[in-house]
Amino acid sequence: MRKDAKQNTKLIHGGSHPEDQSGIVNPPIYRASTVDYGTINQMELLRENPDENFVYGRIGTPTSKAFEETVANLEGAERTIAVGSGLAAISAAMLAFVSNGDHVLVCDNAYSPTRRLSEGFLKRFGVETTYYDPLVGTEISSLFKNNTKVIYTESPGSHTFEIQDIPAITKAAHDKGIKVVMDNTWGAGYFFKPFDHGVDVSVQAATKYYVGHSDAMIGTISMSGENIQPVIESVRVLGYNISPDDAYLALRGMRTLNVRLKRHQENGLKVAQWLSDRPEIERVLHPALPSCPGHEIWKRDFSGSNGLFGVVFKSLIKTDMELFVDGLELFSLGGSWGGYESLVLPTNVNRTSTKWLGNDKTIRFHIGLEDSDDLIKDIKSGLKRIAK
Amino acid sequence: MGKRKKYDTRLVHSGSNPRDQKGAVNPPVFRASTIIFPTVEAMKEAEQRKFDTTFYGVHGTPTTFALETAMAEVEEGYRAISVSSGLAAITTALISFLKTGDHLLMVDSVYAPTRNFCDTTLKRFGIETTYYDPLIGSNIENLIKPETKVIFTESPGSYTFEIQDIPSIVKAAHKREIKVMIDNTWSAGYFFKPFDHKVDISIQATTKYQAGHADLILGHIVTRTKEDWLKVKTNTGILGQTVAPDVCYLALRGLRTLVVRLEEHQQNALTIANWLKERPEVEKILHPAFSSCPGHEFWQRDFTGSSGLFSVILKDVNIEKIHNMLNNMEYFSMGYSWGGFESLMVYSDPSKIRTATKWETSSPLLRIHVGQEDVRDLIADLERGLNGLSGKT
Repeated sequence: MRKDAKQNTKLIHGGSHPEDQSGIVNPPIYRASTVDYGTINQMELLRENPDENFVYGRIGTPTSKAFEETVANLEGAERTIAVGSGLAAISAAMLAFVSNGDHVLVCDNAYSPTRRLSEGFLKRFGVETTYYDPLVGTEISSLFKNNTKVIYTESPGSHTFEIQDIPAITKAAHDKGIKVVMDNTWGAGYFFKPFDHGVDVSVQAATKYYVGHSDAMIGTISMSGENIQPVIESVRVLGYNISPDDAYLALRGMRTLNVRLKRHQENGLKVAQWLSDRPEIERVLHPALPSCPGHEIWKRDFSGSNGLFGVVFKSLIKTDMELFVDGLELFSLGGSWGGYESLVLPTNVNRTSTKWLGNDKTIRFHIGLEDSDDLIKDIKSGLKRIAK
Repeated sequence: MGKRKKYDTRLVHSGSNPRDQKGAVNPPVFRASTIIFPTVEAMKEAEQRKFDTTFYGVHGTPTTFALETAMAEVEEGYRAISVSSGLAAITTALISFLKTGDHLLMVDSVYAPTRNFCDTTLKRFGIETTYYDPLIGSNIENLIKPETKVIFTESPGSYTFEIQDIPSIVKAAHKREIKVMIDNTWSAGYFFKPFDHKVDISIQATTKYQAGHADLILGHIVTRTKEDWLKVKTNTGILGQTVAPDVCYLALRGLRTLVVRLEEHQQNALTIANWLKERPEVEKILHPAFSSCPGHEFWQRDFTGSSGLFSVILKDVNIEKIHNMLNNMEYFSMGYSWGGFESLMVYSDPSKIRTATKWETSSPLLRIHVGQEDVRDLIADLERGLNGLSGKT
């Protein structure tokens, strides 16, 4: 593949090495623990560079490396490393850059397990967390302490959808030598290019759009230059790794990322626009609509949108929420997102530094690859069920 | 004997629920992230029981639950937790019971990546590690501080094979409410029963004997009590650790033949160790079932058998000759890990990975994993190799 290949070409050809695998397009599933080195000389040679070579199952197989290479190509990183889940990617990335006595800034709209990582884990090891307003922008520098080591961002938030001013945050951070770690799952490495905006480490729940079929748990950590070694070290020391089967499925998913995202985007916008015209709805939290906080930043920094957004009802009592959600036919009720199917989930988030008044009356939709007319019909009958 | 028979039967049947899977003997491979609920109420109810039912892929599926049930039965513990490698099992178990300011007692013969975790990550978060002599026994009491929270054991060590006096260590630890963890991989959970000795946490690199085919990476943490299980499970969840269904399926598939494979490993290894003992090139056999192995008396007292992994110390010989021997073995492949069906051999210098005790000999150490090949072929292979060392042809 040429260096100047476009994004959609990278998705089709990245990580593909038919010349190394009998001409076959896709990599085989290597199931491995022990690797037979043959000779001592060969062992020493391979182990000089364990991250490039195939030296032990836990350090990665040609199958997992093919997936990692494709993600690195797409995100524009020198290196990607895959781990067992999106949350494992977050925990390994954070542990790579913090020590006892350090301070981290985490956006107040972060994915709730990220908050749990701070409260239930980092705290125990003497790392203090301050939560910041996702719309803080350059003002973030007023929250810096001498021991601030990491800013953790997630843009947009996966329940409340604020889009953050990432270039402003990374600029402020880098003035003080602080690392910026971003959860880029919503952008799917496709609609937002974190490294063009100064992000140091991009993590993704590959479980979502990369895998795209709700059938595997994987996380990715992508980075370049001096950030590579600490992250790799963190993953290796903790013993994290992924199975070759999941790596194969994730790589297989990436080959259709472009076409899937196109439809998620189109369907997502159609349903979101239809909802924003409904009298029952107060506000649609879709980054591509002006009603979404930080929409102007989305316009500036993103090249598109996917199928995940939130809807704030004017009012929604508990029994109506259940009547609406439980009766939907095409929208399944469940966590996660990014699969081919439509999902619905009542929003229930915890904030500590900013106000969020939407719990109990906000619903998150993931718009799948179904025909959007059927999806709208399904929502319409839901709204009819709760009409007074 | 009766108990053993019952145990072997359990290994064949545990985790198997044919009636829940349309009569199929083995569980299906469930690939899952999203779990779908019929109603908001059902979802809330499932969240309350998220570790006991399908709630989200990261917490497990019937495929992973089947393996965890079986692994808990192998170890005869309360319940098992799957993570992505033996090393992940060790780091997750340690992280679950330690915090800044705590002190850890770690055996000096420990697996090198465990040591690396203590010296890098734990140190960075303000947790102090003291390494102790694997043969310390009840004298471990002298190393306990008010901040000591965990004593980590590995018995035998996977290169130097010291067997630890686990009952004495547990006794000393429990007087001060210190948790005792064991890396029980060598015994495969079969030849040593940590919970009979009141160990709190048992860890398996499932990669080795349970998987048994050198084709996957997996680890398990088994606890003695419900309380400890919940603590480790909660931390596993916080870190986002999870395992793939395919790997769990293969590991469960491996478990069904654990007993027959171990028998063969045991027999072959004993035959080879006995043969090696008589060779003029050999200085010492470090095999727990041999009296030359440090702590052999504890093995005799506490273990019911031995696996296929042991070391041999050669009489001083030119390193080039050893390299030449290893490069030319026919059946003993050179590579890390162990527990697969195949024989392996690696060279090691334990003096580099010890800090509390001194590794006395400078003679070369070969670690051997004896596979399930015909032992006559293996002996012939070793004979050719050793003859090359001593200049015979």
